[in-house]
Amino acid sequence: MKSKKRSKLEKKEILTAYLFLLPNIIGFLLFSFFPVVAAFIISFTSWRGVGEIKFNGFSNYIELFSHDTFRIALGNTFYFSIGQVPLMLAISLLIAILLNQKIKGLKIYRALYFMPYVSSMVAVSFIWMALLHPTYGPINLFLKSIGFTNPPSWLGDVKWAMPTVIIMSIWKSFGYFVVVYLAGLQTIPSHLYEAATLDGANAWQKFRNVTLPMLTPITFLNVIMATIGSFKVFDQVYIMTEGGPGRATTTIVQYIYQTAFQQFRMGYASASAVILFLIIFIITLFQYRGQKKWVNY
Amino acid sequence: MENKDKVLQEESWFEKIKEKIDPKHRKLISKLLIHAILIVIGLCMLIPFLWMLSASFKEELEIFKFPIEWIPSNPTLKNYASIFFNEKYNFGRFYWNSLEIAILMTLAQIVTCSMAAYAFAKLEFPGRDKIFLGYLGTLMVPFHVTMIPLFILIKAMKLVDTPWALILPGAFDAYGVFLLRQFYLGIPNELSEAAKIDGCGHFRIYAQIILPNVKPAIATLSIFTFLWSWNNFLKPLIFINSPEKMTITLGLKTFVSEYNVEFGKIMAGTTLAVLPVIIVFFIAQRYFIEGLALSGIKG
Amino acid sequence: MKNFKKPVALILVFLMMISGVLAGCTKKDVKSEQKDIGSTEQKKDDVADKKVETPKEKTKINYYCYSLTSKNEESLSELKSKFEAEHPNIEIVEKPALQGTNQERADKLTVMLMGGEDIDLFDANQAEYFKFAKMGLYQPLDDLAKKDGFDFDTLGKDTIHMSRIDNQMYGIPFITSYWMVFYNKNIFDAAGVPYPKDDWTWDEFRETAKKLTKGEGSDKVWGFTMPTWPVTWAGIAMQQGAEYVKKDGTPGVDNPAFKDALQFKYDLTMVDKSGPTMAENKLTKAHYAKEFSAGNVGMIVSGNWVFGLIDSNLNGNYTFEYDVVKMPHPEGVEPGTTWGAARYIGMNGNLKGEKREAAWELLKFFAGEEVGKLLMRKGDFPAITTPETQQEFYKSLPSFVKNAGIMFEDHKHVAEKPFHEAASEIDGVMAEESDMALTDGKSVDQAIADMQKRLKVEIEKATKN
Repeated sequence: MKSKKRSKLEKKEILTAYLFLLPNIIGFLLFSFFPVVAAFIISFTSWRGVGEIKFNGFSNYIELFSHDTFRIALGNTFYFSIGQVPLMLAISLLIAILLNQKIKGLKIYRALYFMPYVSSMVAVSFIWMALLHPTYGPINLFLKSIGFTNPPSWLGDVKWAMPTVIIMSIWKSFGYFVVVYLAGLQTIPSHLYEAATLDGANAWQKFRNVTLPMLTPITFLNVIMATIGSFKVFDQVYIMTEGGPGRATTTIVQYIYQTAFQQFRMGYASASAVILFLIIFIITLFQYRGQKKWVNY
Repeated sequence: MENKDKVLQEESWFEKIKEKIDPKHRKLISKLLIHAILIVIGLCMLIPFLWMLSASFKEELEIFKFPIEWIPSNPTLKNYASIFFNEKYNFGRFYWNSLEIAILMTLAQIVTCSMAAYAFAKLEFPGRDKIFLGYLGTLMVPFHVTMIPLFILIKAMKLVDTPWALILPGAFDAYGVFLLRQFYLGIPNELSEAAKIDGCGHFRIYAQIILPNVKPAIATLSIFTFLWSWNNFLKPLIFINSPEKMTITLGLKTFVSEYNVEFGKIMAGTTLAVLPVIIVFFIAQRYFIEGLALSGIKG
Repeated sequence: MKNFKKPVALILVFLMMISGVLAGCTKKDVKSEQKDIGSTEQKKDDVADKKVETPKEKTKINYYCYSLTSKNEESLSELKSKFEAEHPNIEIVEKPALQGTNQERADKLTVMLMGGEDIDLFDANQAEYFKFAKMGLYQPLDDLAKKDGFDFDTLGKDTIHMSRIDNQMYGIPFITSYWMVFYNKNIFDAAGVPYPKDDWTWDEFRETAKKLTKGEGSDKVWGFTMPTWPVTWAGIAMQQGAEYVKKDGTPGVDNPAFKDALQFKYDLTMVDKSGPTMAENKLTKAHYAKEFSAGNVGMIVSGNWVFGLIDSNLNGNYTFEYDVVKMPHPEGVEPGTTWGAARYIGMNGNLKGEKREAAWELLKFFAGEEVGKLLMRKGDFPAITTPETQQEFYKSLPSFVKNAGIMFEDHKHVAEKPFHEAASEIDGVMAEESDMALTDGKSVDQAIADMQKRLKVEIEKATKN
């Protein structure tokens, strides 16, 4: 057990420890910890980024929920999340399973699917904007050539804009989840499948009773990560639709950006940032508790 | 078990088809089918990039001709020339800025995070677990939440519109500390104990025993930090104002001005933004993919 | 182990070198009288003043040049040399404006100003003018004007009257715009449609557009195009005297003229399909002038700046001839009634002392004839036109443009954007709701009703703060 007085050696070790920590912790406190605390504090003020800081209690939060653009942004973000996450993970899992069938060219396929993931969202947004152009875009010209006389104007159509953004986002990032699933699949011991084959299980039964349960921890992690990622959606919306048409694709982060850096209502924008944080916090909490309850290790 | 029966019923059509096929061919057919699906999806991935590449070599009026001319009949380097020799949108400049920021940020992050992780994993000091909990706590908070205080902070430090506005906030990332700590914990203590007996100080243990043992983790962290910095858009959008200080993503965006949407130039710009990353990715695929599977890096 | 040390050492050296270079740059930035807006003004100002007082040093005015550089860079150097010849102690330092869309440019300028960037003089559109004044980024100028005997009213009594905020002017309206219709003569000739006349109505415009529309894919010829801005439909209502904000401070969109106007634009694009839809225009970021320059569009409804855009798009190589004609009018309204907006230039809210005086000199210069000539040369319309400035304008036009004189005729001119503290918010709401209607996301009636409801909230919020 430790003695009350620390020995010289221990003191030296403590000093060394702090020295090791120092370069990081200064930056950490300044650029990570302080902003988190400050975000909460600013959200209770009417600050415009300059001049006096006046506290105004919960009035930012009250205004936030009475402002229909915020409600719409919140709704759109949930729409995006619900539209993107399940579909993306299902596709990723399917492809991972196909890739896991000891086929030739695994590396090429994997690299192809991963390619959009390493590219910047800004760049691929521009590519898709051109492809989806309502009159000249190759996609609509193709649709017209095979007989759809009136194809949708995709990003310019109130009903189609969000689904289009969702599909493009799935295209962009499902490769990541394929790789994670593939790694997970490779850890499933082969004797489990052999045993299932001996029991006369068909492919579907093997999937249902071996693959899926064995992948629950990974699926769980993927769901959480994809969901958190989906709540941060900004780049593609900012570039392709600017939140439009109307407010059909305005998301929370975009709302924060607009109120903070276009209108300079720092207090109000911080309040919406805190709401975003709370959503992410709840999802993380969910993960923490769920890990214990549902996941079969 | 009811479910199982249902599934069996549902799947019986599949079985029926399967039975009709000669077992010898069954395997071949399923393989072909798998390849067919994978190729179709692979093409969906590839085609947008090919279209971009082909459009970047075309004259403005030829870009949207249909059916698509994949290999331009009159290829032109005009688009590339106009964006490289343009004073306002100098892509060479954008490249350099992105590169500088990404390299400095990655280096700083590796140095500070690997050191801090060493303290958390291998040293004992009062308040260690509490401080680490503080690190973990900020992990959940994305940049989008803290960007307002961060902007005010950077402004107070008079760093707005300098590369430091992008480098500093990323250089001390809690995630790097967390990740490397996990790897350090996996290194048996006996190794460092032995060195200690040999009279090694902590700095030598860190530099000569611990670091070489986690090279793959550091490689992965570097790659993803670099990639994240290279592709980031929101941070430059907020912090960078002058065209000569813009990164490749922000430069690309500002390049699309209200009065001139010239897709040839835009596609040349996107090609330039995307190509180096894709080339590096194909060369270092192992680190990208294995590292990612190893650590479950953030998305 | 040795292998490992070497790269680390190298990296450290590299890091230090780069950080040394960069730190050098940042230090320089900080030194040049950078000021935090609003905070500790007095202290810092003393420092700045001292600097100015040192002999032989010129007062530097950082001018964020946007309006003068979009066509030719020479304008700026000409402005600089002329002004500096008249004022030997003042030096204009140019801060090149960010490229990008108008919205991005405005956003970035605000961020730069809020971030403490050294910008002394910058311009703003009508909505931004109110925003900047309200945020303290512009400062009142009346005391300077009084001292010099400068009369704002010479720049247009009505505009000045409506630009006063609490009876103070925060900038100089140095550019106005004049909306008209540009038409491609070749497309009219090919379709056998007679050229439009100055006293035409919107119904005639609609019929003309229909007759010109032809083709598919890359052969498509559009009858007309226009920018995506709300004024392109709301302007028709304002030609009839409707207002965004009524005299009593309530939103005026419930005036049926607005509904009819939005319905009219809907019919043009969605029923007649004689112009690109809102969806398409939004996605291509309003390249109305570009399509017209490519010769695919019969008419553009837009403002005088399009002269310059066409010229720079085509680089002087005209493949078709065009001319301009007055704005169409609704039945029962005086022909030739058009709309436009003022563009202002003002000075940073924290300028004081000599620097403020110097900036004021430059502001006055912007209201004068020299800048007027420069503006006219690139198709911008200065607040005061003299026969001389007009001459510059005619010189800049291609010879086949015969009717450009309509700009200088007496005409009824309604304000394109509201003169209101909530101008940017009003603009935003109108754009969002009309986009919904014009992309079939909502009925026109619904969009107008929602617009009225939302404008009420925005106006109340702005007047409360």
